[in-house]
Amino acid sequence: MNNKALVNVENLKKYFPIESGVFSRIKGYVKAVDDVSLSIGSGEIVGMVGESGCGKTTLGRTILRLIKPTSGNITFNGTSILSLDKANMREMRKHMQIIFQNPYSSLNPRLTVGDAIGEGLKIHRLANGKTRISKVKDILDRVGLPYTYAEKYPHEMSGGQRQRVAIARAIILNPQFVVCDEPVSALDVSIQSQILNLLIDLKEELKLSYLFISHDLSVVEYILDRVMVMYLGKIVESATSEELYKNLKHPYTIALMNAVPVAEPTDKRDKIIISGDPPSPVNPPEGCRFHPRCPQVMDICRKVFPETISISPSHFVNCHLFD
Amino acid sequence: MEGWTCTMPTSLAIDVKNLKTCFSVNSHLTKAVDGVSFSIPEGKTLSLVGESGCGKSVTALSIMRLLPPNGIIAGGEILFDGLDLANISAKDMTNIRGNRISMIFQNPMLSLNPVFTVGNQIMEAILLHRDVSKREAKEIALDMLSKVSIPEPTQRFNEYPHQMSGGMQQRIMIVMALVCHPKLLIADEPTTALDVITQAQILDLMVDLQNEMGTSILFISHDLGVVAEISDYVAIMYSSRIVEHAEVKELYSNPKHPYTMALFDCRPRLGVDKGEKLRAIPGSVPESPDSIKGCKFNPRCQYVMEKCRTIDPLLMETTKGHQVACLKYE
Repeated sequence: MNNKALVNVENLKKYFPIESGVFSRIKGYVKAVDDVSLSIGSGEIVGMVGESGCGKTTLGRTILRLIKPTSGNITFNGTSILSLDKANMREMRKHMQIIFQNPYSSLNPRLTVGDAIGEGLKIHRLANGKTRISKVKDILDRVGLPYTYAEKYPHEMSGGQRQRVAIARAIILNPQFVVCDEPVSALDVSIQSQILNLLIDLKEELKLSYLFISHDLSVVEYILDRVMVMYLGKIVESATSEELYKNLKHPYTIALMNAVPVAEPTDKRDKIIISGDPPSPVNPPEGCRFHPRCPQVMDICRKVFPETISISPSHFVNCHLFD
Repeated sequence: MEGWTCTMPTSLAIDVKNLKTCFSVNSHLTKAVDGVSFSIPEGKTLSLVGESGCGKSVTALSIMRLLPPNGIIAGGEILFDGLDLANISAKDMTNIRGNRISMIFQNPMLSLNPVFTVGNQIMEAILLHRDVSKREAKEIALDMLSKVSIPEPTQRFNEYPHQMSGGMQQRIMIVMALVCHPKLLIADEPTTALDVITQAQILDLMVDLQNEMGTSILFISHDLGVVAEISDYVAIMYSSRIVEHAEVKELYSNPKHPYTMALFDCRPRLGVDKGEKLRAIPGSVPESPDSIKGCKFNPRCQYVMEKCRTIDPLLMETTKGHQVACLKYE
């Protein structure tokens, strides 16, 4: 894979054991992330798109080692982060941050905004006293909040403002890589674009790389460099953003795109919407994992897992339709 | 302000006239809904669209008479089934709520009771409002469960909410809301907590059930994309008032109020050029609208004129069936 990549993930797996009985006997595994490889270049925004429960959040957290993976390898700037000890990992965390989906639950209600944002500086002993306060004020200004907000508590703020605080908290340590876990899906549409614009500005200014997790292809189209579509723990299609939106290949990607509501009232709804929920990741279907819901299912799909096929040098798909 | 009245031959499911709802906070009265009027013809869907805090949910809660203790309906009429819901007794309202008018909420996980099976919760609504035996109630419930395409309804009937996915839980909420064949269904952001595929499924389901049962829907949302899929009429709310009201196609092809236009512009949508910045509405919804003189949208409006800062525009009909509250059109 790309040597210049900032983040490199190889064959990452995360299986959560299902335990039962008094002796916690393991009776199965939830295969949340199943053999995922990806790389994120410096200054690149890579999107991870899929339904609830497809494993995209687990993947984001595992890459930051907030969850310990079952197997696989993650390198950050050439260092394998899975082999780091506690102290070194803490050092490494300065460079990798996360923004969570829900700004109502990700901020501590008992900390003022200033304390919440400055906490990272305190933990890493980077700034104290007055320097810390002035750094917090700088960062508040950068995310578009008045510096007086440092004294406020989260409950005094709106959802959009809270998400700005969450972003300030993530970038104050000058990270190189930020995982954005659905940062706008809990917000009003009118606020979503403000936050997306802010994330893009910050990326340019601070030379950040993002892993951007979302379920809505329309929200992420214009922000992403590369898109990966995930289904039941596996990547099913990946391509540069331009290529993907012009040339959808995988039936699941097409279904995701069809489901995006369009602001045009029409008389009849002729879109094909796939039915049902994704099957349980405890016992994923044989062959292609999407076959029970796929409108174009063939016999081979029920038996053989589709290998990755290259449509073009920058477009890969796992589907038997293109064998 | 005399609001939009429907002159069509069909009868109205609900007719809200000049509704005013206030909250007393620290012994101050804050207006949450300030003179809102609308009506919904039978079997049709009206969407209330606006940002958080614009008063759309409070409008719904006023109709349901489910306001928190510090909220009061300070004026106006809510005409439904020949009654004024703003003025009937709590007991009469109990007979209507969940029976003739029912409501589904944004987060099904929080609206379902975690310690009862879903079957139990669906039957509660039936036994409360309909004169049937337990066995008949169960049959009705199972029948509804298969209508909302829940696989293996008999098995699901005995399951608890946490055993189901978000989409499945929202289907259960829909079953509970529609099981008594209400005349009006209020859906307060029913798909906001769901992912796009489940959202599309739930919207489809609501349209199908509406066609089958003839229920009118008051649909509350902040997303114009979702609204386009389901509505017949759209009312845009800003800062406790309706600022634009029209038939859905008219509103989408010819939005007039600067706020409506801004809502369209700022929507992230497919096909936008990469590198082009999304247009955002600067600022946010005013915390205390009373502090703003003139049009409440003037601090954020890109077409603001001098008179907007002093004169508060009324909702006026510009073309037939299309009402706007903006001084640009006077």
